[in-house]
Parts: sequence; C-alpha cells; structure tokens
Amino acid sequence: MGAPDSPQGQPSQKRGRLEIIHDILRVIERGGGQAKPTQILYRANLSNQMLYDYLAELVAKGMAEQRIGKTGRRTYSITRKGEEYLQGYHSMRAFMDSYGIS
Amino acid sequence: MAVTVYIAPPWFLGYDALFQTLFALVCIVISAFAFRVASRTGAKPVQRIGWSFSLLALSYFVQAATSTFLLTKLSSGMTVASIMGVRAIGMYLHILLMLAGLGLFATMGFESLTPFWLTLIPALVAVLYAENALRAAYTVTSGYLLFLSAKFGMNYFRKKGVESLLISLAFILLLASHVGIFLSGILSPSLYALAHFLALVSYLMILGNLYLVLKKGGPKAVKGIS
Repeated sequence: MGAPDSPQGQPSQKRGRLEIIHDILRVIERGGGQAKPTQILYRANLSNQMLYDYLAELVAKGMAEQRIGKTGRRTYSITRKGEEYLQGYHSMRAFMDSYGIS
Repeated sequence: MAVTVYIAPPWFLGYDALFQTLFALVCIVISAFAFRVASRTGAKPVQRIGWSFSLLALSYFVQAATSTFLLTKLSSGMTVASIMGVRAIGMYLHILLMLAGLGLFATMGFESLTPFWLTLIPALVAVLYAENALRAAYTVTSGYLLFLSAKFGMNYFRKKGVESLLISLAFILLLASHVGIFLSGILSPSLYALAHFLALVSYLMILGNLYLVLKKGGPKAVKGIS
C-alpha cells in the first residue's frame, strides 16, 4: 500500500534516508512548524521504530527540537537548520535529477 | 616527447586562455553550489559532483596559465628547451586533472571510489606510455565524454525536463569540442577556435541548469545558497 498522506502527494516507493528526513521535516513544517509524533508517523508513512530513530537523529543534528507539554505530550518543531535542509533538499533533488543521480 | 595535437589559429592566440579561465570560473560556481548542498544534506553523489567540477576548474586554470605563459615567453629570451619543459609540465598536469575530474564524474553513481581508480589508473598509464600523450589524453577524455553524453541523454529521455536536457546537450557539445580540438591539428586550425566556442556554449548551458535548479528551490533557496 502506498502513502496517500505522504508529503509528496503520491505513493512512496522505497525511500532513501534523505527522502525520509525530508518527509518528516515537511510534515512538521506543514503543521505550522510543529507536529506530534503520531501525526508524523502517519503522514510520513513510517514505522514506530523508524520514526523515533529518525526523530532522535534530527534532534541530535539540530534540525528538529523536542518539546514536552504540560500534559507530558511530546511535540517536535522544525529549527532554522531543518528549514535550511528543506530548502537545500529541493535544489539538491533538482540538481541530482538533472545529472541522473537517483 | 611529442605533445603536439592541436594548432591554434594566430588570431585566436591569447583568447584561448580567456576562454579556459571562463570555463574554470563556471566549474568553480557549480562545485561551490554542490559542496554547499552536500554539506547541508550529506549527499555523497552531490559532493562527488563538487569534486569533479573542482578538478575540472583546476585543469582549466593550469591550461590557461600554460597558454598565457607560452604566449608571453615566446617573444622573450627564454630558451626553447625551458619553454618546452614548462609546456610539457602544464600539459601533463592539465591532462591529469581533466582525467581525474571526468573519471570522478563518470563514476559518481558508485558509493565506493574503486571504479574511479580502476578507470583512472589504466587511463593514466595509457597516456604516459603513449607516443603522443596529449592525443592519447584527448582520446580517453572523449571516451569519458561519450559515456557521459549517453548517460545524460538517457537520463533526459527518462525525465524529459529542461534541466536534464541542458546537461545532456552540454556534454554532447563538450564531446564535440574535444573532438574539434583533436582534429584541429589534422584538418584546420579554425577547429581549435570553434571547439572553444562550443565549450563556452556547453558551460553556459551547465550554468543555465544551475539557475533553473536554484529557481526550483524557490527564492529562499536562491538567497540561502548563493
């Protein structure tokens, strides 16, 4: 089954690491700059394990921030570095596509 | 040691160095962009493109410096042996950098650098042991460019985008330019000048591709990257 809610708006085939990071950040960005883990899980079409592995990586790299609310619920927000990644990603994909790198 | 392969028309002397400097500058712009994107995303193939264009830029700078040196020293009191020595060093350095740059380009799809070394080392050995090093080098680089033209041509037929078309045509023109330089020593010196014009159009296309790529990234991306 594809991912109707995937950020690209089309079923995702086998995604690479860069695409998954892009998809997670995109979900957060489209949620007004922050999103709950469950929202990211469904919209980025990830398994639970993958989600937390990638979120930990994004937080460690300074692309996303984890916030814990009063009720103890976690949300993730995109940082300036994460936004820069998204900007770089679009150019990078277009650049790679033009040179035939998949 | 015979390194003559092309003959420049007298009216074009000096302009060739100018063209080569322009090619180097375009290569630097592309490599800077590729490195910037690679540092943000950690994408190795983009980093590889950055190194390829850096090597090509160095190759053109060496070629331009050698051409300028020859032009200025030919009328000076420098001995012919010294001039020929500098010319040979410049040519071999240009060849080495050009082969490495194109070799890296041709093997950028591989994660490992082994295919790069497996193609570069035999190419260098062939050039070093050839009777005419420059002719051998242009034959090998033409081979690389033929491969890249076919690769980017097929990529265009898959993607059908303006960007991929520009890259495809740019490498076909670069191939034609290399063949033109190769044939200028046999057919007509004018081909040497024509080859430089073809290469200029080719690098303008590569630059045009970068402009379109940046435009696709949106205004923020253009501001953030450039």
